[in-house]
Amino acid sequence: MWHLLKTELSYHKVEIMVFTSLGLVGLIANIVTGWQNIDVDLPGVRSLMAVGIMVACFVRLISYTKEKKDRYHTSLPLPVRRIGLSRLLYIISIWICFVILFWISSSAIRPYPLDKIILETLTMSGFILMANATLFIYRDLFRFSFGSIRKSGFRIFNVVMILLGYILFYIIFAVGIPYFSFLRRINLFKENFHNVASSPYAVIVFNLLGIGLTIMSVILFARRKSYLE
Amino acid sequence: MTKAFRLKDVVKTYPEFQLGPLNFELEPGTVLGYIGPNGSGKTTTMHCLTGLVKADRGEMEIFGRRNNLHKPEWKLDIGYVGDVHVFYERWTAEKNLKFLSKFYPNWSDERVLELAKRFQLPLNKRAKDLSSGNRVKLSLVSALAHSPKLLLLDEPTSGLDPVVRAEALDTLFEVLEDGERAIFYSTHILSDISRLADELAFLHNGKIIQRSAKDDLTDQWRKISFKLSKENVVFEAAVNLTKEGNDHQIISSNFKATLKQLRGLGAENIQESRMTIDEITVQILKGVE
Repeated sequence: MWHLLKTELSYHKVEIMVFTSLGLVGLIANIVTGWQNIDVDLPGVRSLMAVGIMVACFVRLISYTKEKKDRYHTSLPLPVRRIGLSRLLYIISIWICFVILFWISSSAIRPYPLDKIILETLTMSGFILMANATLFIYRDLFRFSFGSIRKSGFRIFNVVMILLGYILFYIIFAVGIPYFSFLRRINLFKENFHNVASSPYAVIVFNLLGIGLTIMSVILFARRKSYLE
Repeated sequence: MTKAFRLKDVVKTYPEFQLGPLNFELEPGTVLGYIGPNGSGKTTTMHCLTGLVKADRGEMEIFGRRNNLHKPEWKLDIGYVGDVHVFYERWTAEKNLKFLSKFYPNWSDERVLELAKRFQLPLNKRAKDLSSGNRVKLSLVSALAHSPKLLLLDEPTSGLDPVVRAEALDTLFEVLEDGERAIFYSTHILSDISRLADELAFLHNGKIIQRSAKDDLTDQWRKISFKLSKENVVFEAAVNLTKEGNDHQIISSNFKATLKQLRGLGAENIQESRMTIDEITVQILKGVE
């Protein structure tokens, strides 16, 4: 499994460098504003990381499907659950690197306590786990289990679901939406969600959901009726 | 002796097609040609054996081990060349082979180089830049490099132009003629396998209609022409009959029995001629339509 993960990370190193650059922009901004003692809205930094990783999830799924990786990897002498897990570890390992870099930069530079930020980042990590697993769960459930449902309908449904999820995530965590009166509700919703996301309960709930969905994704992959694309 | 593979009551059902129930085995060191028209279930059989598709019921064993995806040790004994050739497209052939080598303890880099040389496979080309013929060759090298005891070859030359096909087959058969491996070769092009096969199994509409040793088929089938004035005779073992006046031509699946009957009936000008495997295959498959 680790050889498979190393191979995937090596194979996609150009994409990883692009996503890392997005994250690094935020981290550098974090460091610079910290040195200057400028109190900026930190979620903007993490939202860059989150949007970057979400794009990585999407690109990963497209590339994975296009290159028929399920078929290729299932033909290897590896237990099928390990193959299912290695699909998810790609994004998880990139996100862990992002978070570690973020924490190092933040704790080295920020003069004020980071409790809320750490908690919100942990909540985001749970959300990333959920999104990463959900994409593969949806793919496995509907592409390979319900053969009677037309492919084209599901392609559209897939895109809609993914877009909705990403838009929701952006609204919640993105900063930089200017204050316009007609966006007041979104801003209010965002603020309330920030308060919720930085609570310990949100950390526990999101991460438990993320871990649960990850396990479900592995089990569903193992139970697929077909590994053909 | 443990069978190379064993299928017992294997069934796979699709909306308008059912494969099976399949019940057959392959002895180690035997080459079995799996012959059938397009859509007869050859590829589905391969997919079930390799675990790419889960059969709806039945058991499958590879060298005595169930083809359980949670315990994939059985995959170490097989080399599979499928209908689709999948690689890391941005990597070279060499890098793809290097990736695979980590999974097989018996993998031999020397063997890879030797096979690549014989197949004239450009190892330094990216997989996405390989021609379809070279992709097949890369698949073959991937399947052979760890010296598997069982080879599953699913129409490996499908889609190749005649020149490339002949070249790939010639090299493949040179490699395979050492007689050490069990080979399960599915094709609808008989000339691909007739040279190598010990036995042939004929598949039609998801069912095996006949399995025979290749030599038995060529020994038993004949075209027989004769003159006979009697009418409404049912000829023994006659698969096909054409008649013009008193002139008859029969295709017989047991020429000795047919000849004995014809002599008993007083037929004249009896002439028999051998049939090629291709002709026999056509008659077997036509017989069920």
